[in-house]
Amino acid sequence: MRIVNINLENTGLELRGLCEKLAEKASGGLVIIVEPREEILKALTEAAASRVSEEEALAKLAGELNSLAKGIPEDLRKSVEAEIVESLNKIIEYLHAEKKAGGATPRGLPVMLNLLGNTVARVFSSHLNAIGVDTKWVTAGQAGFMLIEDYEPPWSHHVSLVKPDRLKNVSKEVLVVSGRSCVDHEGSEAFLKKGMGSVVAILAASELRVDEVYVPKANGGIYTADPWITDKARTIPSLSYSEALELSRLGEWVMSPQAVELAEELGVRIIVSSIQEPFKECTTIGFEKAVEKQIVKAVAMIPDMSILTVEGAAMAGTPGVASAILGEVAKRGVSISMISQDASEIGITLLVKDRDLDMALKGLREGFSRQRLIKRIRIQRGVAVISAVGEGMRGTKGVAARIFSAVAEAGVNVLAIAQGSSETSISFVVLMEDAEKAVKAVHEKVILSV
Amino acid sequence: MRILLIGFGNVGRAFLQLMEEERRRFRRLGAEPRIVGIVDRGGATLSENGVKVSSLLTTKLEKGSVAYSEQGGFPSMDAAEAIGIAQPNVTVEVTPTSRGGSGPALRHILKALEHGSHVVSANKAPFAYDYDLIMRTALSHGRIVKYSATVGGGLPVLKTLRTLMIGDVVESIRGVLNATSNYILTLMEEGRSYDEALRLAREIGIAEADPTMDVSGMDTAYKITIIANTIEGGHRADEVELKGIEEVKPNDLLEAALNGYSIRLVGEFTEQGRLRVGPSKLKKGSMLDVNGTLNAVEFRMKRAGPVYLLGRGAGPFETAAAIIRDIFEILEEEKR
Repeated sequence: MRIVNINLENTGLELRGLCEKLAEKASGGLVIIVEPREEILKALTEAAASRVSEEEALAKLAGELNSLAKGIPEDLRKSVEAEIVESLNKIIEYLHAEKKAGGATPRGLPVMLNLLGNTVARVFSSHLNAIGVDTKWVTAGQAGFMLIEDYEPPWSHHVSLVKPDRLKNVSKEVLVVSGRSCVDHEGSEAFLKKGMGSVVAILAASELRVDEVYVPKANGGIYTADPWITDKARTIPSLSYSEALELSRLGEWVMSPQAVELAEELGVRIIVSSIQEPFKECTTIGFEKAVEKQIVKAVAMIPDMSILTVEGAAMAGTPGVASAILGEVAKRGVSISMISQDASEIGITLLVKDRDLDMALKGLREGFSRQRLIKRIRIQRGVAVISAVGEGMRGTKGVAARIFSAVAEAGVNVLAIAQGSSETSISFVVLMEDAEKAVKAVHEKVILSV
Repeated sequence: MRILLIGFGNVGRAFLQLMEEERRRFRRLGAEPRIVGIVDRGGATLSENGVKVSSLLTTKLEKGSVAYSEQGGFPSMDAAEAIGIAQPNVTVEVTPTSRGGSGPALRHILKALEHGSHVVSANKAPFAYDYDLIMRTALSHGRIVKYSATVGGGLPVLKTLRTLMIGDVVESIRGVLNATSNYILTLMEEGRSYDEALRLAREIGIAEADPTMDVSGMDTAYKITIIANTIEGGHRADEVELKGIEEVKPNDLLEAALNGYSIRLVGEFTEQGRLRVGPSKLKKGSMLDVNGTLNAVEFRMKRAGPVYLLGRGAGPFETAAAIIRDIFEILEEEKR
């Protein structure tokens, strides 16, 4: 039995070749968790909220689904196309029904997103059937998974395998699971958040006692740096869970941070492979036997960020100030990527996405309007976070010095620095225009020079 | 403030979430709310220091009841027993509304009052069948009963009514008070059959799997009875002249539209004090002619004339917000 997590974000839309390769190993049993691309989910969500026109969204959906169906032979293709049309018609009906209700309803949107996710899974299974592999498809909900919501801060959602027998019953052959189409505790349809499909894959592996989950990527494996920034980037053969966790937080999207964390907890290895050879290891994420020579393994960048510095002399020595500041920002639904506070405690620096800056500012201004704790809020748009990741940094002296020397030699000014207590990564902030220069400098002088 | 929650469905869970969010606001009023117990069908979980709610949903899903919580569960303990042990300051009743009578919620409310607890309820049935008994019991024990979540949820229908009644007299009230039936009628205006509109309403989660309470007009009957009781007491839901929307045909809506009317399910408290619920013709574009999931209420006052309230019908969070507002009001009334 093998488990494969197909995220179309990782693989792209050409499924025929990938399915042919998957079919080669289908005889031992195969569970394939399929996740659609964010872009089409977003298009549908925006249409439901009347932020984009129905026509525009449906054109995107139709384009995507038809691209996915390319390569299915003529005899099967007509029925697949008919299924796509049926799904799109249903989505049109739901969009109309939602408008009549006065906007997106809490339950209507998941129904539409599930329908879209299921259509992607159906097209995927049609490819395998066309190759001659008898394939069924189910939703994650039908496979026994359920969305569980927390009722205390930070209001997180997680997915749980509540009916494991269902998966055991259906997993003897080849099964495609619509990875984000789920149900909640009442049996109502629920659409899992981004990254939760990979959690489904890890839970399935653990339940079926399979040691690893394969994650094919278009460019195969995880790289020491973004190959679009430096052509010297090379594949990293192995990563520890904590290194992978840091990288996934930094946007190196193989699996969600929750999935990596769960994989470690359940002892499931993640094998990042390529779409050309989906069962060949490019990068293996697991428990590392010994610390490798490589102290820093990768450098990653989060672009389009803003610095928000909150200052006030009264903040020094006042307990709970940091928590109140973070709380006001969080209340507006803004995620904070980095926090830095100077020892004098009169200032705290937050890194938020450019697009969230106004919302964060609004939260702080309204939250502290009646208090005199905050004297000034300074902002700087257009910055990037650069992170160097490697478990070997823990306890190794002089790594930070090497990183910052490399950056300084490249003539890049560092605006803020943060290091997590795990010492698995060092992050710093630079202007967007200097970001690629900084990545190249760390990559060449710290990673490749070992 | 010790709070006992009876009912752990959608509204109960939304209430727990909002309580966490509103904790700071409570503190500003000098109150430190603590959920000292939660009761569901299978039993209760009680904790003097406050129940930790994060793991309760998983417990309920896996074991069928919050009573199997590791924090201290009591399988088969009923609400009355839990009230006796937990000694709450406020009891929040959010069990499902019964049909044809007050159901077990009445017992919970009376027991809580007898034990000296204030009561906040989202359950309509006791206030539609035994309003006078509840109010008498509350009075005799010097406790406060609040039930604004029973009508309109997030829409402050009862609060508006109480405000309007100060220095004025209600002549009559009419309202489109049920979002599901209004939504179905809105879809039927496009020529869809009742069954087709109901199917679509179910599929996008506006109608419940069993929509009987909504489409039969019973939910509206409960609400208009509660409104009437708030005005003068002495009403019961079984006195409502009741007709639902099941027999409305697309042609009826079409014909009405050609003559400049819409058909909506309207609940009415007449000048003579009679209660009626049924599909009614409303002039197109009039204040009560609302579409989709909107609710609308017309208060006809002797001095102020017509006053209108319009807004979205209730979901779990809107209902939970109304419960929280009721608790705040209790805190303020206690201070006076």
